[in-house]
Amino acid sequence: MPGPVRSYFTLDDRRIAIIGEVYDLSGLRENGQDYVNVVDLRRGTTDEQFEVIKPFDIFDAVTLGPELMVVSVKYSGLVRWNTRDMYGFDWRVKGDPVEYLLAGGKDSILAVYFQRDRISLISPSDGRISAEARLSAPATGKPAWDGTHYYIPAEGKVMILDADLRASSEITVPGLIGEARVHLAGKGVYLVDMDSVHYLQR
Amino acid sequence: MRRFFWFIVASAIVLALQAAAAGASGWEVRVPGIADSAVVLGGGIAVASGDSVSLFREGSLEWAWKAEDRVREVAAGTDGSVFAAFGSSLAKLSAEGKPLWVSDTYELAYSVHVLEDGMILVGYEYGLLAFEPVRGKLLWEHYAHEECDT
Repeated sequence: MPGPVRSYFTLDDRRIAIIGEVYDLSGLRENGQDYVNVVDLRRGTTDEQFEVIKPFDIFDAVTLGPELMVVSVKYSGLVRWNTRDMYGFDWRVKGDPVEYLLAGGKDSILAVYFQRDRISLISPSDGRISAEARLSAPATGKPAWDGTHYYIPAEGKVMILDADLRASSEITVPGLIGEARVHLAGKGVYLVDMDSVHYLQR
Repeated sequence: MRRFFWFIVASAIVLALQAAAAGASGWEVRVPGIADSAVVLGGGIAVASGDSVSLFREGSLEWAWKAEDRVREVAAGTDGSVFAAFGSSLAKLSAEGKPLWVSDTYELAYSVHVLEDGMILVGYEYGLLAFEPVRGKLLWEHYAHEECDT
């Protein structure tokens, strides 16, 4: 039975990639979603479905252009897809499973592994790791990139790293507890957990 | 539900006053049971908790709107508006927190995404719905199962 669409990745003004769930399958899995479709925004029809990453168990994805999508999949690892050819892929790199993917600086992709205290920069051209770092504390949510720095939420603080993953600073945020999300807004950053909203000036 | 709504409003006002007294470098507000949040065009952050959507700006509660069911998702519109998914409905709230329209999503909504041209995408129980932003008219439905042989 088809399930809900959970994530959206803009490709161009006519197409969007979506990640969704299929109930019969997702019930069998601990994590992830079950398909990647490219939808035609004019009619709501499927342009392509990414078939290469079967069996599906998708953790996250990132787009760096209309024909450049990198998907993190449980069994396949990181896979780059051109969003056009349902059976084609540009590269595939197996390694530790990646929970979060984020378009970052220097044309790189930030990968946060499931341990959440290890991150790396992935080159979109070949999938190789160009830099790695250990965080001072496990991330408690998906990071954000403001054009010069990464903002990574952690228990009671936000860690700020430069484009090469060097620690730039940390800001203590008392009361930031558990899973958190980061929103960048103008000169500020919002950190939101289950019971509080924190605003910091950048 | 009504008591919970006013508890959120009162808590936010008290804590916003405390935050304002603490200085201008930042602020904090306590909102129990946050389900989702979205930064709003023009400033501020919309927060879904319980059956309410609250808009905070510079540590102050700007407005709060009460839905008929638990609000699961919020998203920012391209004109300062806020979209809220609750129960099997999608509401558009003005920049001042006034409801402009409510549309049927058939079943629970699990995600809301607003495109640059204003089109609203709603991931609901069985796929994807697209709405136009002015009146909330349903544009199309997408069902993965027709093409998805997973």
